[in-house]
Amino acid sequence: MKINEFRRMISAYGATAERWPIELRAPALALLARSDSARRLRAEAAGLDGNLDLAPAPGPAGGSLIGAIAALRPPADHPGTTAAAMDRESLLGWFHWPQLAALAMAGVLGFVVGWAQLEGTIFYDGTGDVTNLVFGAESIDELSL
Amino acid sequence: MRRIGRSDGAAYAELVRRHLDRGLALAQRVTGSRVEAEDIMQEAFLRVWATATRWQPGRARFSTWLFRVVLNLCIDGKRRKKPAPLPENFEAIDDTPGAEQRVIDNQRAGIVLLALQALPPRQRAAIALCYYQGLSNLEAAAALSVTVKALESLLIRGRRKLRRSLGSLQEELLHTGNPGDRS
Repeated sequence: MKINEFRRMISAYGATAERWPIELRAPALALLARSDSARRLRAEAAGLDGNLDLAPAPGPAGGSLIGAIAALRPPADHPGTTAAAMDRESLLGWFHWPQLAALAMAGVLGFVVGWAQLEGTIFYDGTGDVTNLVFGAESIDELSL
Repeated sequence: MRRIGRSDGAAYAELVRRHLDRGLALAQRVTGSRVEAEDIMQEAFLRVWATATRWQPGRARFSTWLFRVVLNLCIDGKRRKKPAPLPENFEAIDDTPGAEQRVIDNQRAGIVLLALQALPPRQRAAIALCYYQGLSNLEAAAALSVTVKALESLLIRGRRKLRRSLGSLQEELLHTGNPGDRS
């Protein structure tokens, strides 16, 4: 290891060998054994490490935080067991009941229109009124709409 | 994670117990705030729960992935609005034996925390991962989603700034003994 490589390593990781990249430890220690410059660089880095060590270590999480996080998860409506199940659920989630009802109505309407055209003018009185097309004029009158 | 993907609440609780402390420490180091760190961990574990079905074993260690989520919440979120205050009671009155030294140590610790908080977030995160959390360079780079070379640049710039801002304190410490002996 050259001194410039050592300088870069120690400038990044500090003076403690345990923090150095594992593949650089042996060559760096070998350089330290023979180089005054390397030892001086390490001493400088140790000064900063000493300051960093003064920062207090964050305390562990309390039981209440653990409990709160464990309780935060959504209950039984978790996405499911597989990605496929999740996809199924998201697809179904798209179609809520109003959309399903509208789809069903459109289907019925389409069937009636198609059937009426096939059978002639069973419900169609020629006025172009869609309500008449579906229910017939008499039906509308009966409903008093 | 597979069990969590099957809505196994016990497995989820075990994962929280196993990884919360390290994630919390990282979040607190980066944000400088315990309260904010606790909020971040709640959000991070909600993401764990929500995305467990998509977890792919073997792609990354869970802890590295969790650290990445935590760092994204710490750095990229709109949480960082003002510098975190110094820890509560760090200059509290104390008249027990050795109190004077403890006050000095607390003051020094406060200065170090302020210097760390003054760093750009990604430099602070790099130092938190490598120096305080003890991650290898590969793990830390993965958690930050950068190359090892980019990680080293963050570390070098961060440490250079710290050396400058803590220079006077360092001088003082050199005259009063090695602070590493007390850690």
